[in-house]
Amino acid sequence: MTTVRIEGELDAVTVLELRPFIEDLVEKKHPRIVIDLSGLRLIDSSGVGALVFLYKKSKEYGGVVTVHGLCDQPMSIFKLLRLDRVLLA
Amino acid sequence: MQVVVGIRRGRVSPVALSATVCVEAPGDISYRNVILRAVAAACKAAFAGVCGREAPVDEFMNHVLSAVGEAFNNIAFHCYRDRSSDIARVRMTMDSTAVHLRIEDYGRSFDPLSVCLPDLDALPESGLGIYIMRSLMDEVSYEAGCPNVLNLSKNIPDCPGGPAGRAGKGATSAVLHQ
Repeated sequence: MTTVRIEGELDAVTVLELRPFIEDLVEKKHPRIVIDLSGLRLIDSSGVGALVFLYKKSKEYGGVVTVHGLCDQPMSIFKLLRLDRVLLA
Repeated sequence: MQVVVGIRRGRVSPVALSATVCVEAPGDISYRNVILRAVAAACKAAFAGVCGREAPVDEFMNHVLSAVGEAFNNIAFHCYRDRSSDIARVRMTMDSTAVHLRIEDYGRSFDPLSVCLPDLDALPESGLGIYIMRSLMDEVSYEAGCPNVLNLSKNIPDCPGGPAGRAGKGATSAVLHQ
């Protein structure tokens, strides 16, 4: 299992730093990835897009991606986009 | 014993609390946080003015910040795409019932209301920003021009968790514990 902890803000600015890391995870085909968002204060559509990209690409090779630790603004965005049903552990 | 004191701002007559905050920055994505922090501070002050300082502002503020953040992303990535960025201006007006945001840019027109909403079941990776903005705000309108103007409004909820509730529209409330 590979755990990824994302803290602070995941938005249109910071997602540029995360993208190469996500692409590397996909390339190495990790079978199980847990994303810990307990330290995440804010997420926007760009950040969500990056996590959905990771989820979908992993699913293509049979990998599993789950998210846990959501609260406050990130949780409300996940619920709004109905991602809580798909990605929450 | 709990005593609730309602303090009217300005004149004694029950006029609505009203204030305008304007923040302007280059419409470049690196200024996103500058805009959001200013809006957050103004939003918090407005909410406290209506619901009292102890009222839970987080959900209301998160909705406003999420919507403004997406609006600013659109300005940076669509309106000023392939152009040297010009300014983005957010004018925030608050009254006792709602927060109104007028967001201006001088770039390419991009009407968020003309975009089809995404199919969430298909897990889209893009096109979510407009959905977020439209879902979290009570009113969204757009006028193309120079500047382009995006108007967002969010109603201030009754303050169910606030210690004083809404002591009266336009009132700032204080709670004294004795």
